[in-house]
Amino acid sequence: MGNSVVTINNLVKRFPVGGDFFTALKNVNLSLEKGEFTGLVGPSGSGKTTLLNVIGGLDSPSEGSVTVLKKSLGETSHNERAELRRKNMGFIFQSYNLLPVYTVFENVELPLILNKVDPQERYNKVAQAIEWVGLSDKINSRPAMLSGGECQRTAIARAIVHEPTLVLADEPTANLDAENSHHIMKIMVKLNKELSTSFIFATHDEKIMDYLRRIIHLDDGQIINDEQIDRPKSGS
Amino acid sequence: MIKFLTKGIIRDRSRSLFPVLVVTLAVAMIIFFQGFFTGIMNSMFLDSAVVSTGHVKVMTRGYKEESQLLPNDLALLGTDQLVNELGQDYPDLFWSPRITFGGLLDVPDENGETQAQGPVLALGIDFLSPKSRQIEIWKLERRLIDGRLPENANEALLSTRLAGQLGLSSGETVTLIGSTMYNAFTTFNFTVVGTFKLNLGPVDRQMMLVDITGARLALDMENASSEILGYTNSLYYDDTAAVALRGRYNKINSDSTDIFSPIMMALRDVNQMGTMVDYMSAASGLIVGVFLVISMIVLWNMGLMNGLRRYGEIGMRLAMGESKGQVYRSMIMESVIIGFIGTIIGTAMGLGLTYYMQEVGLDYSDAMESLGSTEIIMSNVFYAQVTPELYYIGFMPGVLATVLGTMLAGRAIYKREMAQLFKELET
Repeated sequence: MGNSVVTINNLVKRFPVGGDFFTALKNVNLSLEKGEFTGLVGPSGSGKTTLLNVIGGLDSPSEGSVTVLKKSLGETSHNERAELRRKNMGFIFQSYNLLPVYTVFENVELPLILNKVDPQERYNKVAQAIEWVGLSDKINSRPAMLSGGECQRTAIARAIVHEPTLVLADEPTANLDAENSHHIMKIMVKLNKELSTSFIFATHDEKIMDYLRRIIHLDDGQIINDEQIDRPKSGS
Repeated sequence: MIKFLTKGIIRDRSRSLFPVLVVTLAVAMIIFFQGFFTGIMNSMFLDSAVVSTGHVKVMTRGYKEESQLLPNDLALLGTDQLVNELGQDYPDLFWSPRITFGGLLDVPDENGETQAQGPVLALGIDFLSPKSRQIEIWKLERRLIDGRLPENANEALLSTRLAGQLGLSSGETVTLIGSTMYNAFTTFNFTVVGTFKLNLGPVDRQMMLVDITGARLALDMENASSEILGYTNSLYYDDTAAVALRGRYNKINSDSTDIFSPIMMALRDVNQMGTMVDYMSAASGLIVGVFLVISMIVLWNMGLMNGLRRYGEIGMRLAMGESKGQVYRSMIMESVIIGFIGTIIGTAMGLGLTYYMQEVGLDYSDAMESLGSTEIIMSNVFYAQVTPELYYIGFMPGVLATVLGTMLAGRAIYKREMAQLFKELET
């Protein structure tokens, strides 16, 4: 529990469908430690994105408890959860979710503005994050001028610029070709090692699995297998 | 964060330029329509007021009863004192005596024999006294077609139609043949110094304008007048105020048993003008009201759509740790700024257009020809009018409706799970 980043006990998540409920997660129990590089793996509809959203506080549990960075999400207010995300979490999405009217620099800058980091420090951190993902030459480009891989690298820079403890990535390589997928994953492995940032992926992309050090298999809203990998195939 | 958001608004034309344009156009149109209808209404009332009714007017009870016959034997006496008293008691209006009379105009040839003759409707108006605003409200300088304005008691202006019928031009002399206020036969020579065209349909067909001093000399009406006409200093007809004034005045001054006692009438009391006032007010209110509601729905919907379009961005900002309140407030602030900018530009545009139409007007003389037999005095040119409410009326649709739409769309921030906002971005 000392290094625990996420602790989930008996989590159930139901969604109203018509007049009934659909149960997306059923009695999920899980613990993730600091610095883990973990994948939630399973077919479409298995509940991996829902689990990621619940961990990020974007969805609330129907039953059970979810503790993230020692804060029980069920007992925190919306503003406390917002602060938790602002300071300690980063998000990477399948469709990048970059703001189209802002440049790469400005998109990456947003989490630091929300954290009220002073302008000089902000500039340094944004420049550093953009350098990490290898986009220093695209700093003033807008998302429409970038390739899919470059957009996702911008999203990664945005997710890690404030050096969060936990990064949640939902299908980060789904829209990318193989070369870009490997490039992205290598960047995240590097950040995981250098910053000790924990990464949790929701994915069914085989390419990602080669990099993971823990794979949690989900099916029909339940964990069916929790697999530790000492030597990932990619060598990470 | 404000700087960051402002940058985004400026760069994203669909969030700035387009909404500002929509608000601007809607507000400008509302203001113009309001100003135009107000102008038409007031223009119609003012034309009637100038030519015959005043905003209010005072006459004897006897004259009121027989007014169609122009009974100057029932005229007001001691007019100068009456005008002074009215000016003191009701300083929001200016008062002007008027003599309306009919007769025959005789045009002599070089031998003094009748060359042409025709009926005339003459108005003796106070043109020459120093504080008179009659030349201004008759717009005589603009309406003068030929010659100059009268400078002496025996000088007259003829309508172009009357001058044409009698074959008269400036500088010639005509003889008025009529009767005095004591019903005695009278003749009086006037020198025609100019011709005018009122552009008020058929009203000036047989019209002659003279200074009231000349009319008094011709009709033996020393210090008397047919009526005393009152006009608001702003020249804006306020029906409610006019009716209230008429009620107060008559209660104090009018004696129903004395045909020579004065009685006041408001503009609405004359020539079915009351129906016209009510109809025009209702029609104008309805048209502007309907347009206002439509504009509000359009702007409300625009605010709503702008908000809906941004659910993905909202979800992303919430995921990054902005609080719901912050996001909601920033959306509303954005719509307030856009609403204000659009309303200010729209108000300026609307006022500019209204002012232009106030000065230039819309000429519909051709259409008026088909109304040649109407008895209602109507201008051939529609003028808009810039009124004080035009400066703020646009803020209701421009700011309020836009912000309400955004507020409604923004409720989703509180109503939906954040994850749902992402899903809506991706679909």
